[in-house]
Amino acid sequence: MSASQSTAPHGKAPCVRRLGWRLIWRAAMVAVVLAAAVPVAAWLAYPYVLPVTGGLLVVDEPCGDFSHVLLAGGDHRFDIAAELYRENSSRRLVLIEPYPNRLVRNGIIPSFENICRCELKARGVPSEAVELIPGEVCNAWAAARLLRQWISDHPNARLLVLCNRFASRRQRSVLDAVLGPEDAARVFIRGLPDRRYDETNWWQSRCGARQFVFGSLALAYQWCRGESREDPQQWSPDDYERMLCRMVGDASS
Amino acid sequence: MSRRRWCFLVLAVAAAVLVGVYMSRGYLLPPMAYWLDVGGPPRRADYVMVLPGDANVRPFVAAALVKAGLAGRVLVPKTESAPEVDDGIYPSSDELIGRVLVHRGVPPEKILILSGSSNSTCGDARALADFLESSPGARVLVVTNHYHTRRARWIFARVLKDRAGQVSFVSAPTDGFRPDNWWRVEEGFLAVISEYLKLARFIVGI
Repeated sequence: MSASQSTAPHGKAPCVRRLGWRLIWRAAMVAVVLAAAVPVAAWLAYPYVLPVTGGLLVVDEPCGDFSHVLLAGGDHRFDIAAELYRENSSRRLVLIEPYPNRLVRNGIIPSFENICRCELKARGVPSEAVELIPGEVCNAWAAARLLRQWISDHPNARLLVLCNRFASRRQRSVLDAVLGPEDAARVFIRGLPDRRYDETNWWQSRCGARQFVFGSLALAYQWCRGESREDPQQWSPDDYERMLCRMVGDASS
Repeated sequence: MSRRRWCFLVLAVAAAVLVGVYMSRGYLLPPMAYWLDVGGPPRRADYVMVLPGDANVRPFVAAALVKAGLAGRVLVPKTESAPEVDDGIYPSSDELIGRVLVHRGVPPEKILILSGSSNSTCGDARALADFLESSPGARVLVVTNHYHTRRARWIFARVLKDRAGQVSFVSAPTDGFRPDNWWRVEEGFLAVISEYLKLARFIVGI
């Protein structure tokens, strides 16, 4: 081994060590400062930051005049839909039936359509003003596809969608993805605030915080993955009951 | 090594870790959901308690346990009502659970509504603690969705203290997703991720 070969690494090593330690020391200092500063900043800024984060989930679009109102969700939606009908009785209220869950299939609760018609009737909306778009949907994407077909069948319709306030950004995003730009421009979103909270105070109540988290996660999922591609699998209570009875029978015999 | 090389090395390692995690998500993500599930096989008990929420599944499981003779009566906590319940649009949680139980063949006299007004798993645990004051030796099966059993067990252990041993948990399945595909289905993603957030909140004690 030559002299230059043997001395070069020994000459470089302290320099590398010094640089490494200096970087680690700086990183540690930055981490300590951040660890102290972030909670303090968050505590000072939360009255300003949290309403803004809540507002990111909300879409509330001015829509001018509209011919149809879709009841997709939201607090007081029946009251508001009935009020919009009374404002202009030529407006039609539109429903999209979700795929009936186990409670509906077993007759334990009425179907979505029956509930809506009953509530709207109780608020003075005649049944002929309520229109059901034929078909059952299992998620917001399927509903948007159904709506795309309906919009193309109603070329002059301008549609106002009433929905949960913290789901409104997601609703807009799904509609934009499924409808073309021309059709999407004929659909307007109104996010209805819950009577217990809205984007300005959601963190003060358990249900507000829960809805904010769910709204954020749903929006994040939709941005990252879009529509779920898996077939929804249904669990069978009858099979479960039979399995339990077999298990108990085997244990006792 | 220069600072630029250090930065490059750190970024390369971080990128490799991210790519590795993404590539092996099929192996990494199912254990996340399996870890949340601490439900055991159903044992004989005096009561089965249905935790409010997911009435599409939980009361059906409770009814099956009663019909199989694994539990004698059903405990249903009373919950704080939601706006749509106040408006009379939907039935309250305890009424809905009662309807499912009766529909599945559980006699109404076997359904016991616990007093109180719960709005959380902690409230449900307190309702059970009150009940166990009057029935100190009772053994109870608690039915909830599989991803909720770990947090429920922690909360019940904290609230029930010495009586926690009288309670065991039965995992109800979920419609639409399983622990091995939860991240591919929106409902599964929401359920599992929000459950971890709630666990973190429980641990921090907010």
